[in-house]
Amino acid sequence: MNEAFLETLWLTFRLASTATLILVMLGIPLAYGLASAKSWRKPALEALVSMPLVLPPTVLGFYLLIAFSPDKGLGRWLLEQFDLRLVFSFSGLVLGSVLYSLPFMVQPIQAGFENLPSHLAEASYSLGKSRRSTLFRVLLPNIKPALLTGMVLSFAHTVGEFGVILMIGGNIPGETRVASIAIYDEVEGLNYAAAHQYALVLVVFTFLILLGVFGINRSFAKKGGRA
Amino acid sequence: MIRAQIFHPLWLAAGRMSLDLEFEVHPGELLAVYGPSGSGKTTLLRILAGLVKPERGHIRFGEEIWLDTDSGILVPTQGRRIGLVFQDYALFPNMTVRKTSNLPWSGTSRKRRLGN
Repeated sequence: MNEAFLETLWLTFRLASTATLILVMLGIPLAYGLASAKSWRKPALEALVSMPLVLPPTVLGFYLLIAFSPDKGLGRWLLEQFDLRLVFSFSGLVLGSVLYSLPFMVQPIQAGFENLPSHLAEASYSLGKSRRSTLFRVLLPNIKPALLTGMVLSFAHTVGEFGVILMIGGNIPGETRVASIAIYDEVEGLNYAAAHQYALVLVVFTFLILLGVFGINRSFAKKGGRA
Repeated sequence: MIRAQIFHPLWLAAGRMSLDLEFEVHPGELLAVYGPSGSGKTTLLRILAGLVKPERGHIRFGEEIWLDTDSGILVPTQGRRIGLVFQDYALFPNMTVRKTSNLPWSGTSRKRRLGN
């Protein structure tokens, strides 16, 4: 295993964990809001959150590329004001990944909230607990399997991301060259041995991570939710 | 003393009906409410606890006004000193008995605990 190979894997891991971390902070309030929303806005918001599931990643990537290209509009403003460049950069990939994996975080957590009996929250309110402390002390601890599923799926989905990264990230070693892009690049260069290395690592990784989720959720189910 | 006036429409399998109540409970009194299923007993308790907002109503607990739809007052459940035993189940699966019984005081200072 050479240095470029490890660098690419490390970058992939860094991207996926950064995106997952941001998604946890973004996804929990969003899922909580959606689960308790009743207004007409709910379907609209749900549709918006779920769009990356069905939209070709290239479409998302294309719009991000247009929006953040540094020679005009928003992209130029970000560059001038904050020295922030969101195309062909790691931060751009993080943003793209957060948008792209959003439904994988929000949907399981939202389903988890919706499946909890409403009496749990009501009992907590009647004991004087605020909405916030009810969320952290009662609701979240009881949807651990959903939280875990959301985090793992977002992480794995970000690792497997290709189209968005190709559009806004390109193929800069150590900056935007993640494993999925590297495979494509090696195959184009007829360098099948290197492509095999990446592909095998991803296959094994994906299997292990899904095995872990199903195994842990099984033990959650056995314990009847008590953790 | 609790003084309550409540008007709240209910939608049931049998059709629409209205919960229309007015009562007072004095200190030391025990009030029992009975009636057939779906006549609004649970809804009444949920309204008193602040979990359901009635269409019109006024609830007074001693000097505190808990609900007055005319002037737009609605004290949330957390602000009402009221206990409620839920019908089917309201044990927190993630907590032990000790944690559950300490929940109301968690996050408050010792002084306030003693005060209550």
